[in-house]
Amino acid sequence: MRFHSPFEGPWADPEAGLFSVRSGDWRQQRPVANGARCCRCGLCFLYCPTGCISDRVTHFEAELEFCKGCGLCVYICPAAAIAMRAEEGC
Amino acid sequence: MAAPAYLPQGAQPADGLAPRLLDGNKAAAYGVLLCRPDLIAAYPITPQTPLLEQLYKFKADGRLTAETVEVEGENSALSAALGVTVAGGRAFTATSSMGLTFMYDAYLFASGTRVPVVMVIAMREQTAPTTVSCGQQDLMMVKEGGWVQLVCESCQEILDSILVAYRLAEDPQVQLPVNVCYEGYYLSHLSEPVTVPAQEAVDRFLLPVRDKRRPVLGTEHPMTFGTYVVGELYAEYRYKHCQAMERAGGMLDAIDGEFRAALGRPYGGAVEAYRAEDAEFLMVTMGSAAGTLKVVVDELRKEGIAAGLARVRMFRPLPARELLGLMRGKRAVGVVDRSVSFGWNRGHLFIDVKAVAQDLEPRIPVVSFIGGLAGTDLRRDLLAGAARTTWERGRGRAGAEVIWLGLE
Repeated sequence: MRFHSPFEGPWADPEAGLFSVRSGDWRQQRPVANGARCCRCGLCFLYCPTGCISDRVTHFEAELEFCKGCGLCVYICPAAAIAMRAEEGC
Repeated sequence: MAAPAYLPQGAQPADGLAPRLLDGNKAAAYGVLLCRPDLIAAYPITPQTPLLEQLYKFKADGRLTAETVEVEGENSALSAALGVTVAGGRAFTATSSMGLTFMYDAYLFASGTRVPVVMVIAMREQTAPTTVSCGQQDLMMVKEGGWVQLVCESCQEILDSILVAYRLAEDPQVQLPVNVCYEGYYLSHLSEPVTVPAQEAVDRFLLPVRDKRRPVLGTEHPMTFGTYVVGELYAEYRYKHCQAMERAGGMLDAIDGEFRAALGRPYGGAVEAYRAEDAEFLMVTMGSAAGTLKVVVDELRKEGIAAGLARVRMFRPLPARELLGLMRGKRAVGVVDRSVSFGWNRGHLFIDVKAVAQDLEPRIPVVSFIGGLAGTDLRRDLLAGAARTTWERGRGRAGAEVIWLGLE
């Protein structure tokens, strides 16, 4: 048997990662940030429904393991610094 | 000294303690008291109510140190018990019939999240037709809910099964919720001599689960219980649940041995066999009617009819291997049910037994007897008739697969 979880039931441990659903698997398109246009308002960071956006100093970046590709960051960005790009095979 | 008739076969009175007269609800309350629970959260419902009254009396008398929570309904009762259990405590709740229905989503959460809580079901018919009488139908509504389910024959067994339930539920190899089930009124309200074991003996018996070697909710090592799960991980948890059920089946036999050593009463594991080995045909049932069936078996034996009985103590997981072993070499099997499966139009235990009997070579007749619904007596004459019918089927007489005792 190949097990994914170290636990007997649907429990989660912060050390192993509290997420038991890799929502990045759902994604059909991914956000790509343009650092030159980013105004550093942080709205994408605040609005991301999966909370997967990190501050990379020059721009904000989505953690693709959990980004589900909803595009809300593109919609909310006042500087039009983020674009969605189709994932290959979608 | 021979064991008194009210004790299981081969039992010796334990600890030199004199038995006292207790009904099933009081016996359950003593069992709970002896397990030193941290929380009792329950909502009163007939016929379980006197169990709660006795627990609150223990609390008022200062004998029970558990927190008691007056909840607004059964769903909250089980949910509170689940919260305490995932936090590493020992919790108890109890219900019947529509109360069980009202806690159904919490019931499924308990097993799927692998929360080792213990709950009594004082068994009662389900509405409708509306009644508060005895039946096993409420248990049958949750038989596929993923809990371990123990069904008792006597008031002594109720007390003892509470202890066994915690030992089983909290074992790291099992980690599953356990129901202790007994019929309303016949067991919940009728009194029998019951030996209440000494606290030290119970503590010794529960020693293997004292340290709660399981992940728990806490601030030192925060964890989440009941995560959202999709895909392969879902199948993985279902697989692990089934494996734990398998282990629970085997473990009851081992725990039965521990129980005999600590408290002096053997029950025979998941299935109690009564004069079954050399029997020509086998009756199968669970619950209080097994006592009457034992009398019927004895009477038929005096007539030269080799009857035997298998009493199912563990309904879930079903002890299929044990049942198959007991049915092998018999000419017919008759199953007495205090419940109805709509669609199958047979008794619930019958369906299980019939499925197990598929592995027998050659095939033998299996007959479903439905009786005792809504608190009617499964009288000696009715059960003797069922046993004689089964015996005749084994000798080649044809007939219907389901027979309603007292109606036809």
